[in-house]
Amino acid sequence: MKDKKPDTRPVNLNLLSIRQPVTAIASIAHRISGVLLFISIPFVIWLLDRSLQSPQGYAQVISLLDNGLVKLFALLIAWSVAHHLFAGIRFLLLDIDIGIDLETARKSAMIVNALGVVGVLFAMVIIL
Amino acid sequence: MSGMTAWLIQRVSAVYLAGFLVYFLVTLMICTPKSYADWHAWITSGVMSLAMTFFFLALFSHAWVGIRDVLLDYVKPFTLRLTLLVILASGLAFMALWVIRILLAGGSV
Repeated sequence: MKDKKPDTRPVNLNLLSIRQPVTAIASIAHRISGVLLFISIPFVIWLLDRSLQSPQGYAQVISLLDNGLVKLFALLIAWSVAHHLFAGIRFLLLDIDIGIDLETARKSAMIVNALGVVGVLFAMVIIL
Repeated sequence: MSGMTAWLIQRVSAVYLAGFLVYFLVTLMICTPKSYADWHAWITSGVMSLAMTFFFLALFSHAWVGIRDVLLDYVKPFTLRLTLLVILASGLAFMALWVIRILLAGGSV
């Protein structure tokens, strides 16, 4: 094209200013929860190690949950586990063409996002 | 690791992780270990040691593919990308050795 008109198509790179589709939220949350779970691995291994070493270590691991900050992290991990698990199952089903049409995919994304929150509530009942 | 292999590893490990996680959490809730002895006996039992070994194998493979994908998506400069991948691999290898030590100390692997 020779005559270059000024490009007036809308450009919107600020993702926060766009209302994301529910499927996109399920997807990015799957990634974020995955990274959070990855970061938590060494802490979980440490807890396992400590809890198996001795009755004192076991008691120490149990009493860690008395700490408010630890509880907060536990809830974050609970959300990560719940969302990552259910969104993961959703992706596995999508892989084999189950729930692939847009309407079902939207519904399942909504359910998965909600189940992440349910996971947090569930963890709250147990640890608070 | 080629794309297809990584894709397959991610899904096979996902299925095992999901199954183990559900078993672990449900067992923890319906027959909660009441003491160190209960907990130790459960985790270090033969079947559980084997299941835990597979769990961590699946977990580290899953984490490798997942975090690798995240790094490949967001970190473009070659040297930085390579450095982070090496750190990731070293971290996972270190954690794997740590887990092996824990499971061996349990005495039944």
